[in-house]
Amino acid sequence: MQKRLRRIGSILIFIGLSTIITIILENMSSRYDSLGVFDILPKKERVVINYLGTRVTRYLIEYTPSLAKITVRIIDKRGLDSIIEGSELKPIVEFKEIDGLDYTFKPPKRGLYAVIIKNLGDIPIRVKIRAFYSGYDYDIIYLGIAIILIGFTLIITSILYGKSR
Amino acid sequence: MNRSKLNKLFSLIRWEFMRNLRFPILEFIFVSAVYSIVSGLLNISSVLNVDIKGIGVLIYNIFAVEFIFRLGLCFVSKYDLIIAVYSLLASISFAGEIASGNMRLLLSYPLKRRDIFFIKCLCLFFIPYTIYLGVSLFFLLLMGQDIILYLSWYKFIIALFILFIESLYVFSISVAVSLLLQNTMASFLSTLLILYGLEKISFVLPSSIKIFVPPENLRIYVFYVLGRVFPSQYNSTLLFYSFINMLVLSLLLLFASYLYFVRVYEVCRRG
Repeated sequence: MQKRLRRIGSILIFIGLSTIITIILENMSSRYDSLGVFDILPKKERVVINYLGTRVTRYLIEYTPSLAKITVRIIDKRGLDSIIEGSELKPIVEFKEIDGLDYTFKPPKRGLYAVIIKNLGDIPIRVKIRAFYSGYDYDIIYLGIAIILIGFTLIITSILYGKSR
Repeated sequence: MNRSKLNKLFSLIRWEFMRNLRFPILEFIFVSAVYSIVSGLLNISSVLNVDIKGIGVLIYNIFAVEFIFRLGLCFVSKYDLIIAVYSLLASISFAGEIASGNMRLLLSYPLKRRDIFFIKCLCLFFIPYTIYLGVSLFFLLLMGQDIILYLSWYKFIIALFILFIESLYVFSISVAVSLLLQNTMASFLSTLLILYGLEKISFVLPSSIKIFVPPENLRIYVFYVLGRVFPSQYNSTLLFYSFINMLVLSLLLLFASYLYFVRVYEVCRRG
């Protein structure tokens, strides 16, 4: 029993450590994604959906011609569900009547996020949207730390169990 | 099968587990599985660009497909780690036990050579495979929370089948080399060199031949079955044959190893 607990503890410590090291290695450099170049007709909306971890995300939205104004809303999975169900949309953040966007945010949780862009002008616009990711996926790092702590707890329990006998 | 024989088989399985899962071998398998799967699932880069009226449940399905595709791809792209895991296990369990004399002790027990070979192979093959399966499921459920209901379990099983074929191929070569060389370090290094060499050669081969060389054929297969686009320069029938060839080659190698172990291998060499 004592040996088994110690063994499971050591395995958990290795799992936790490898999880953290993987995240550090993978997130060491910042990443860039082109989320597309597309046209939006006057008074129409377009949605760009992507999967985000918990890294710091910077959205960069540019469009031409810059005569028109746009409205940008960022929503999460709940927002997407409300669009599907046709209920009231509650965005995480909303920018009204802007002429471009450079917005940095840290997603509160891992999952699907969408950027809704509305063309408020009377002419079609061509939008270019990019995302830059930096920092670390802290949710997985915390998971790794939790696994390591469970591993240590098991090892300490096994030592205490051995002393009590 | 009578009770005493079953007991003997179970004690052989326990022996295999104790010998092969000691520190730090099991830890190494877990570390390789975690690294392969987490690094693959972190880089989900699918982007969907739709009109607001086009949003439906289908978008979740698209991201769910991307997750399984990434999982399949990380099984194939971390082929090097799978080689390291299986060559390590086979060289310790077959070559190592022959070199240290443990095999002699094992064969002196009232068990058939056939049973020993099968139990060794089953344990060695399924330990890493089960760990990879468990780690994949854990991280898939954890990282794909939003789309978990939309995951195609049928595609997940295909991804696991690709991992199965890949592992079987690596395992069969590792066992054959271990039985042939009967030296732990020599068999470990030879297996690594053979499999890495084959992998590197596949990069410079023309696409008509590349389709027959692992893990390149598996990578194409992942794109074909789990991905979105089938590379136009490849023929799907040839790809299917290459998949079957790999399976047949692995089974033939395992059968040859079995024949060698049961019929040819001598515990005490004369001479």
